[in-house]
Amino acid sequence: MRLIFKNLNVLRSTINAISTGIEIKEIVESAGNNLPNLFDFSSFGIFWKEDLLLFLYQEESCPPSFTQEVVNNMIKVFSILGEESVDADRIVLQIEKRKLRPKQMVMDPKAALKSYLTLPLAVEGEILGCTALNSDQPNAFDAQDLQFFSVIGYQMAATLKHFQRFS
Amino acid sequence: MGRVVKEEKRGKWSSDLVLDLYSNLLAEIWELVSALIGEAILAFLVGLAVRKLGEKYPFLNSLTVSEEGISLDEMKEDCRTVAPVEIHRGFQSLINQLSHLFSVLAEGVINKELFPKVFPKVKEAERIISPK
Repeated sequence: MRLIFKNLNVLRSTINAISTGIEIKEIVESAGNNLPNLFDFSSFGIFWKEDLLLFLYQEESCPPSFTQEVVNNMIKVFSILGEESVDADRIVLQIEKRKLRPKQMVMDPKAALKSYLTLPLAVEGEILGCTALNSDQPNAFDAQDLQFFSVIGYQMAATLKHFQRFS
Repeated sequence: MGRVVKEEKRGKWSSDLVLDLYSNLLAEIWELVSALIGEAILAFLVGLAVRKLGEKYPFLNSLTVSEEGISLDEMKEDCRTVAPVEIHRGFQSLINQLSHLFSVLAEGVINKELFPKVFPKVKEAERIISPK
């Protein structure tokens, strides 16, 4: 029970941090700084359809092949959800690398994408993009992770929509 | 319930009974999955699944979905002329399409919760409606 309360408090802080962001980079960084307290992940990303911008916040030891797998998967999921194909060559990729793991747990240079949670950033039936948590570990996420991540996803979608309206 | 049993004994199901069966199943899916991903995303996914299948099963286009849930009220009138087995196939395809979308989003996380609670009932529906 104590763990749930602790996680709920982290969730509140994360939502609060996201809601005060005024640009996509700030929103990703606010979320990224808080998410390691809730989930074990290798990479967290937001794809923003309007600017074809894919922003990744990931463990510094993420090998390029893993990053490419994450990008491909996010585009694939978005294409299915958005019912439109996205030209991967036109995507602007921005990567923020952070130390998310202790030194002894750095990622294998051949690490592959083994688990992910991807959610559409949807507001009033319109899909603005998608957000994803990715891991090189199998079965890294469970139902509670999905519940928490969906709450964070809703806040990101609402903040991005607000940002879109007033930018 | 008595009506259901009689219809089952005759091996003949009316469109209304098939709709009632799937209305209950979709309500269960809604309750379970909305707790995981929220009503707005789930409404979006149901709308997407219906758009994918609407051409093959036009009666599905009268399914209404909002953040309040799924309603088949408008569908009842449209289904008067549709064979019960066709309604059954349409809803089976809808549930399969939803399951596919859940996998696309979260691999097995949603279906792992959904399978033990809902899919035995889908199989049961299949058994009742299409007796061998």
